[in-house]
Amino acid sequence: MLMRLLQSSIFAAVLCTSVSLQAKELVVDLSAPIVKITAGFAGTELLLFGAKRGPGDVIVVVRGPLERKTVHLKEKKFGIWVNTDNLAFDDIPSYYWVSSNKPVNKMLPADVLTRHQIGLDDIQILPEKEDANAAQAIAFSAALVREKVRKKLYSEDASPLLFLNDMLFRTRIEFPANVSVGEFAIETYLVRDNEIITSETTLLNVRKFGLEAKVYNFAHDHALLYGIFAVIIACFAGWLANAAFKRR
Amino acid sequence: MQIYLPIAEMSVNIFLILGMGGGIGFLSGLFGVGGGFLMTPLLIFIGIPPAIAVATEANQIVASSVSGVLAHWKRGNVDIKMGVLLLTGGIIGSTFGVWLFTFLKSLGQIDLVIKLSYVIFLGIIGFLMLIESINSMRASKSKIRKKAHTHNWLHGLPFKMRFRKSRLYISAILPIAIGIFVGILSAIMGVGGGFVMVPAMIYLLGMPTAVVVGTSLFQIIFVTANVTILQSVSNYSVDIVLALLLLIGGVIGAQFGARFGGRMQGEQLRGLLALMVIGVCLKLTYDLIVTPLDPFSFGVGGH
Repeated sequence: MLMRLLQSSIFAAVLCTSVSLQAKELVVDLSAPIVKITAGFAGTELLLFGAKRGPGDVIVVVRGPLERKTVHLKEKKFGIWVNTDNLAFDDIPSYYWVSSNKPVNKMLPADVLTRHQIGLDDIQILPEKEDANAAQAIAFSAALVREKVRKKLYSEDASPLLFLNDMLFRTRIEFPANVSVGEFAIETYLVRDNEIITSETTLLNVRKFGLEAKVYNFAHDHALLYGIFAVIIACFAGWLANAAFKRR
Repeated sequence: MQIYLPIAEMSVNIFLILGMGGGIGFLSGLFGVGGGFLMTPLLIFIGIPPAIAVATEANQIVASSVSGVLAHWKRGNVDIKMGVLLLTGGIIGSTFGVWLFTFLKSLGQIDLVIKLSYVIFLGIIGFLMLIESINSMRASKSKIRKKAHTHNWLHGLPFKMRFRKSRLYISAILPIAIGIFVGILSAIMGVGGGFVMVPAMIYLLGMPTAVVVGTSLFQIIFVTANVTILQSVSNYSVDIVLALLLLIGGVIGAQFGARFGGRMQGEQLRGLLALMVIGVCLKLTYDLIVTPLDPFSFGVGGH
């Protein structure tokens, strides 16, 4: 019910903005400009609404803040599995979500997909060491993408983009509970005749709120105090439990 | 019901964590071990990042040890003098241990070192304890009295002190050395170190079992408090929300454990602890030997 209400109000907003569609070929809006991580946060989803002018297909790509990841490879040595090799990747998106009204490789030629990093196969995941073995780098980065997909942090076509009529479209973006905090960039592309006609960038902020933010900031800004505080709480809890269980 | 952990940056089921805390807390009170050697692997198993699991578990052990030591205190089972010497060594050892942890992490082999230390220490100690407790159970059945302890070169060391509560006259170097060693393990393995210290106190120092548990808990409080603070400062890895949930379950469980343990015989307790230590050891060995689902593993940042 609430979702319906939300949807229709966003529709109204999109329809209003369609006046400015005269000037722009693509207009996009989100059901919320911010994702709040609070104590009960267990992942969330947002709705993206948009309107386009003229024919064409639409691709939505969501990219999370960049991060650094190390991939370790285990091999059996002396009967046990040991990390024998590792490769660090710099500046990979912590989150990556693609949604489109049909498969992206049916819309755009390979070189365009690569240039704009559209689709799971075209995310640029480059090893930190420039002299890394190419075959090895491919195996390691493929493992990294597999892991991200398993954790629902990378996804392609999990929710297809739907056209409501010639003009209006919508899609759903899911964020799992382990999503990174920071600024997310949502790129919406309008595609016509194997070409990107125009694109719109919408920013989304994922932030910790309330107690969660306070604890996190306390731990990072006053680490020593935080540690002492943690110990005091633990001592008090131990004493309290003992007092509560004292035989009367 | 899900709750979001602010430092671990993930959401967990609140009842799962409470239940884990309660179960391990019970064992902790029963055996006088911090329970960390069970809890840390369990936390990692449910998906908590290892660095967070190790540091947060140290914080939780502070609480369960305080709760446990108070129960033993009432029965007069804490040798303060011995405890202070052990914890002097423990503070030195754990400070060095946190430094060593950071160093091994930079080499990219911390996971393996943690697992291998678990396998080696749990294996040796569990096996020795099991044999010993079987022997003493047999001995007590045939009514043969064992000598309290035997004299060896350890009793020739200088700085001898009298420990009234433990009915011992031994060198102060011994408990300090044990403290240092256990402190290092404490920082690297994310444990209180009770599973090493309890046998060391019984077999190396020759302390009576009744005093061992309370005294071990007493020193664990200070060593794990030191680890908690050092980990907070150097790695920001103590998740206070996770620790709170674990300790709510843990302190309650520990109370029941201590009550229950008071009704059991020393040999039986030691035999049970030995079986559990061997169980965890076998599980970890299995994980090292069996082919992993994915030969790749992943870390944030690092080298």
